[in-house]
Amino acid sequence: MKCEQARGMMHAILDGSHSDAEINAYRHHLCECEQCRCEDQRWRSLITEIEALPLWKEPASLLPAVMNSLSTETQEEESKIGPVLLFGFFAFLVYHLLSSLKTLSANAGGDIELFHNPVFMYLAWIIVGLAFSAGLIYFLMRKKAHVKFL
Amino acid sequence: MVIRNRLLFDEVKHLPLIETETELIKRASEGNPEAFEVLVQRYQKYVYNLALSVIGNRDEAFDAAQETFIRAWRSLKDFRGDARFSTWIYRIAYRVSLTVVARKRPLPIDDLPEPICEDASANPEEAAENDYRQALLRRAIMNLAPAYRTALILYHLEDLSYEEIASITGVPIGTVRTHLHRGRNYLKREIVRLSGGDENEM
Repeated sequence: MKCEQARGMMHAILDGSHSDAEINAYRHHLCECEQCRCEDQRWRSLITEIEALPLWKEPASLLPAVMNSLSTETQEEESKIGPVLLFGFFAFLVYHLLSSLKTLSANAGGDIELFHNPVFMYLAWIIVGLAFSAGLIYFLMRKKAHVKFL
Repeated sequence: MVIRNRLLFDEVKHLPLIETETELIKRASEGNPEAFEVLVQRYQKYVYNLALSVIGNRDEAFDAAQETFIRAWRSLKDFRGDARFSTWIYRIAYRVSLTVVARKRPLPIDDLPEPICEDASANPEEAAENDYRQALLRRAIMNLAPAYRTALILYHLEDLSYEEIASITGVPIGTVRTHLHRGRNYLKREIVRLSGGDENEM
């Protein structure tokens, strides 16, 4: 092995990413070449020095800051469920109000044409159903896995 | 091969391991903040160090580490366990840190973080010399291009393999190897430049 070859594979040897045969050839060259031996030693010292560097200590406030942010985020998510349920409740009330009006109107002998319109009644049911389903699904999924879709 | 004694989970071993990591991740992904808190405790040091290595500024590294954990919390349900949790969270930290770097001005030399001396040697002269060498080395590392610096720190300080670094940074393994080898070469030159010495005396 020549010096050029040895220098070329020095980093890979230091990282342990060469075959045993190549490592042996490299070692054999180092025994014969003082310059390469010194170079190898310098790299090993540098790497040892790098690896001896202590990691920076994380600030003590990092964990509380993360948990605070999560808590705020969870509260924000929870606050979204209020309007959904309120909307569902409102839709429910509207439907019952309309039903009551229809009953009252029928009892009074009057007639409100709108209530006889099947398209209107069908749409009313759809709106009420959707509002409730959305509220319920959101509530259940949020409980399960913090899903945000609103 | 140089013995690398700073294993990623060395300090984790000293924490109370009431639950395995898989259980913790499962509970955290179901929305349990206590389980997630344990995970944050375990990884905050490494995430913070990665962010600091990429960004080079303590305050911004703090924000990046915080953002990393918030993103991890939001997307924990997507973690399928194909990679190690550490690799997954490192990947998030790396992306967050890159975003910070992309929008900031170049780092002035005075903003570089000071080294933290963890072991006070009995001999003050030795300690001073050691502090000087460490400060010099850190400064030289921080002067490297971000790609070289990150490869170097992840490999030597955070003890990750070529494969893990490639997965985190999104570059091929060959590129990681090149970054690491070039990084070392530049580091050596940078140390010589900063200390005003001869390369052969290092």
